[in-house]
Amino acid sequence: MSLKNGIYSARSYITILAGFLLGFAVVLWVEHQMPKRTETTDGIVLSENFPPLPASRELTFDEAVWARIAWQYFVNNTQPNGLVNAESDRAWLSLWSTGSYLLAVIAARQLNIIPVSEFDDRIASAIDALKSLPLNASGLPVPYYHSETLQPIASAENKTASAIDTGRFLMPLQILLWRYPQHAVAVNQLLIKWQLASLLQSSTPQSASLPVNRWMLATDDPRSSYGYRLYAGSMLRMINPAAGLAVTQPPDGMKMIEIDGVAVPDEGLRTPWGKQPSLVSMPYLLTGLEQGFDARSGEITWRLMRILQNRSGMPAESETISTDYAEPSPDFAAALPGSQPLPLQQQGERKQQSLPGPALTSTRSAFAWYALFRNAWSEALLRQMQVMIEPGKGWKAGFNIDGAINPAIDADTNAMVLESLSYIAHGQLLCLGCLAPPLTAERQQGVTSE
Amino acid sequence: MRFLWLRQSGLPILLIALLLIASGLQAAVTLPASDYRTRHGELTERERKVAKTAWSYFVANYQPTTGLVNAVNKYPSTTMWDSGSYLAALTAARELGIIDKAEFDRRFLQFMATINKLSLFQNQVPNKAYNTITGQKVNYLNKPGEIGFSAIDIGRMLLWLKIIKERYPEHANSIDNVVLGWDFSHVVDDCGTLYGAYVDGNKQTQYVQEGRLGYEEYAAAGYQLWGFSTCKAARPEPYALADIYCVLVPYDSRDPRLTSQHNYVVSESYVLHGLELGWDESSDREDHPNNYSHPWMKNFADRVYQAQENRYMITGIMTARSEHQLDKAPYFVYDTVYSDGFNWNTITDKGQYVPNVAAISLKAALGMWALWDSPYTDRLMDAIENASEHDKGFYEGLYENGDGPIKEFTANNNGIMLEALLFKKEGKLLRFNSNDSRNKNYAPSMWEKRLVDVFEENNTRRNRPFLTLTPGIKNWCEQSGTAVRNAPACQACKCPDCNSLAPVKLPPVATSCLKQ
Repeated sequence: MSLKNGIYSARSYITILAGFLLGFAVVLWVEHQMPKRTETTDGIVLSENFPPLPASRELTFDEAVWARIAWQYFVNNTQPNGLVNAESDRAWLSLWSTGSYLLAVIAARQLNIIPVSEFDDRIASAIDALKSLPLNASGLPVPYYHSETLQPIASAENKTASAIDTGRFLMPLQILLWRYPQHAVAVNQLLIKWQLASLLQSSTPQSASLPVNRWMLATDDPRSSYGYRLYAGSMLRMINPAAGLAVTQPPDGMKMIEIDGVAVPDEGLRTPWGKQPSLVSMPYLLTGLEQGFDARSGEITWRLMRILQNRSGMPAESETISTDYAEPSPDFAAALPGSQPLPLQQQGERKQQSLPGPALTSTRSAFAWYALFRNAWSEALLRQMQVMIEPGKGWKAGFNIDGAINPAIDADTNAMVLESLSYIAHGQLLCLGCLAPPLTAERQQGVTSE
Repeated sequence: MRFLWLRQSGLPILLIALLLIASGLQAAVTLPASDYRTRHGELTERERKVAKTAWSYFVANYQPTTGLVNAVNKYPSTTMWDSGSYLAALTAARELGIIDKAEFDRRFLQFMATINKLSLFQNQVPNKAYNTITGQKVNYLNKPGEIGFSAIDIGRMLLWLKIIKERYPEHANSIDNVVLGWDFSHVVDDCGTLYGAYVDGNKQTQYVQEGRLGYEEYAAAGYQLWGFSTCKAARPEPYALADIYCVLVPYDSRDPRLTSQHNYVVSESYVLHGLELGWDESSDREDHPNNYSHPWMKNFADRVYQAQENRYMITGIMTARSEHQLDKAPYFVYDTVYSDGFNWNTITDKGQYVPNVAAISLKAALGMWALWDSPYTDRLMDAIENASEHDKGFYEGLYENGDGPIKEFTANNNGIMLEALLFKKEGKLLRFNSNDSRNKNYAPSMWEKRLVDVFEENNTRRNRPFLTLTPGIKNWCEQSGTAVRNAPACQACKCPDCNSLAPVKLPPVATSCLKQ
């Protein structure tokens, strides 16, 4: 028997083996294409190039107008009962959107858009309306209500508002307690009505070695990712003695994903094809604006920004090459106390600082980036958002993936615009150090009058 | 000597440097409006169409018997203000090629003949109103009678007579003749305050200070162009600031409850100053677009503009405010940015609040369009360009509440629209001819020749101003042997509390919205 005959008779096996090899190669190739996903146990620490946080400064004239454009959304969409539509001219609301509204009112007060009397009036009537919300069997709000009638939307009747939504909603309540104690009694009366503890009805302990229950999301939440849990957890942990351990315990071990050489948490967006790697910046931005960054959220936000900045065609590295004896000026406006960006009309000349293509981003995150990391990139990002102004209605949502404008106008976007601008002028919304009046005659370093 | 010169020049340089530093600090917050340019260039087809439509008002409302034009469609009455607007329209129509020189001359000659023969209020200056068919002075019901004069209306007329005198010197003598016939004794006082007149219940003539911030200074410029010193009228004080959508808008702080004059803030007065004088000093003979020699007019105008743009951006209400007519009772309103203590006040002349008739005033909209090239004024133009009726001209306005157009047509509205379009083509409308009185071989006009003549009795009798003796006029006096009428040695002594040269300190443009 010659080799030829042998091969000939083994042809089916060879074909099968070749098929296996090919298939394996395909798998390897696909694996290689996928972003690296690594399990991590060590905490996230601030990287060395993390920029100093910007000092608060006066708003520019443009910013002051932008804030009022955003506030107009709430002027238009406030219902007689004191609550606000989640979307322009569509009468529904959720706990998340109501949290946005309350934060918008607080920011509007901080920015002096509304007087104290209107602030008190709006907060009081909103909390009154919230007290009258019909609850479900477990003593908690349902996910969606009609904003006119304050009745649950039919499909939502037996469900429970998600823990994440509730966590966001607790944020403005917390701020009210600290900064506007005239509303503390009303906030207390509201919380007395709600069985917050039942948000944490959880699974049985997964293993004997873990003494606490893992936190189960009570409902199928669209915002179930790591970042949102982190954001909401900071409020939810105060619900009861078990809550703190439950919500800070990472759900399935935190996964990191490497994009463009930067490792960020894999938010694991749930899709019909399983969990897909995805990036979510919103909860980190909200954390920064409302509570101030901690090392973890700050670093994650910073890394996300670097990825976005690289992808927008304006990498941080390409900025400011020194051709003179002077130190290269750093790429963040915060380096100079009180310094403001140029007015829009004068920015036309700075051609190199416009983004090459449309930034595929939402209006709200553009504002948050602008407030939290003030650099050439975030200023350019915001300039692109000027087309989102809808006079008389507020800010539109942002750019779609295909570069078209998403014309939806909603409470979340406009609230976050207000939160961002309030951050620029006054720092984070829940700021205990801001309660004290500033010491007299604070002088800027290096500036003397005589 | 050289060192001395250096020493002398050192101080001004230091002062200028300090001034620059100071203004740099002050200009920390500027309004977007101050960076918008004015529009400039040939008219597009669409703009020409607007101009032609606006001119049709003056075709339809021309009165062949007098050469006057009705102030309001089909109602045969007019004022000096509205006739000023007619002269503006006439000039624009000629410059834009809608009518030719022949048509201009025919209309203008007849107009001047009528103006020259007008029966004046108590032989002083033109009455507040005239019948356009008979040319008689009339009362508010268009019946023969006299009711007083308006220093502001006369100011606008003086301004337009000066513009035409400079543009078309062939008409200079007939223009000078008219102004020489007027008696300014009760119109301008030694401090340069402007006075209007009315006849009270006892048939007594009362002279009262007239004009509020904006209009007062605009009218003062008209008097200045004829040599009057208008110290008090031209100063912005007394004024205060209203915070309107983040903009500090200046308003006249004389209390309307005590003076029975509304202190309304509207676009019109600032727009007219911008179009006609380019926001320059009245003595500024240059026209550099986007360079404004008046110390504060552009700055104040920007605020009035910006408050209206901000109102649109924030509330979505298209805003271009002015006083305007209505097609229903109360027929006339002050539709203001600020008046009598309230933002966006819309009031009748009696002060009654009528917010339902607030409107986009077309003249204000197109004036703002010409003077501020911005996305907002583009939108205003889109909104108004077809708000017209064939052969009648443009509507007075578009109601803000959506009630549609104000179906009334006026000379003022269509005239200002035409001058706005002419501004786009030619820039500042007051164009001095090359005959500069600073030159030695200057040929003075009839007005100047009379005013410098010490033996001309009417100079004192009619309170005509003292002209500054420029080299050209001085030379002419010497050559013609005219004894020169000199100003009193100490003019400041007449009015020690007004210094027209005192610098105007510009107030901040925005505060409460920005501060931490």
